[in-house]
Amino acid sequence: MALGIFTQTCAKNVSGASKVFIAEKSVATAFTITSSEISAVTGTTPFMRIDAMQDSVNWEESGERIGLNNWKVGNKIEFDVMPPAKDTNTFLQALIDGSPCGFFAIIIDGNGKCWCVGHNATDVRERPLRLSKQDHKTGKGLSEAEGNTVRITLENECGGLALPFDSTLTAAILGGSATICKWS
Amino acid sequence: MVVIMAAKLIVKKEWLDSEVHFEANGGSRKVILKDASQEELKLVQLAGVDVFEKSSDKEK
Repeated sequence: MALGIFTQTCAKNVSGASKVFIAEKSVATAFTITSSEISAVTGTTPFMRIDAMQDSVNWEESGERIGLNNWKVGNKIEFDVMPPAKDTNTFLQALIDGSPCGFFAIIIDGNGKCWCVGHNATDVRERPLRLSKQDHKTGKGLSEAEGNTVRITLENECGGLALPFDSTLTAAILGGSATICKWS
Repeated sequence: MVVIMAAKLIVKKEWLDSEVHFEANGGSRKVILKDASQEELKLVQLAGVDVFEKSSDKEK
């Protein structure tokens, strides 16, 4: 891809991520890409809505040069769920069971942009997200806000950048009507 | 003897500039729709991707 002019739009830029949806790699069977955006997702089961705690969803995409000529992209998604109970155990066990095959995730960022993480145009579907960490502690007392929350971390290393969804799919996801997501 | 000809797959105009990422025969595939052979399009169809004209569309 040749270098071109980059123009910046004068608009507010909001930090953070508001929502995460997760699908097992095996059920999101195909992605259609148009003009470097995801324009369709084909699957047998939709992406599952995960009700994470407010302001706990974080997606980090970090690039690193390897040697002289290679580029590695790392993705890390973290979010907190609560309270530790049977339901959180069931959810965690599903992530543990699905991790060997991997996951794709939809992240809604603070600007209302929707991204598909775990898939990219270089590796296609070869390097999905995997559960890398699950962290739960009770905390020592009432003043510890993160006590009795379960932090979940999904990560991958891959060769390409995550792609955004196109305006049609983004509007459907934000509006709660996208059939690629399971809402209830 | 009856010979059954497989229908030719035709990509809808609005998807011609798209590419499809999916898995076939145990590996990841990337198919650029405007350059794809019929064999590649058949794999796309098998993956359940809805980018093809239906035979009823052609008759219109």
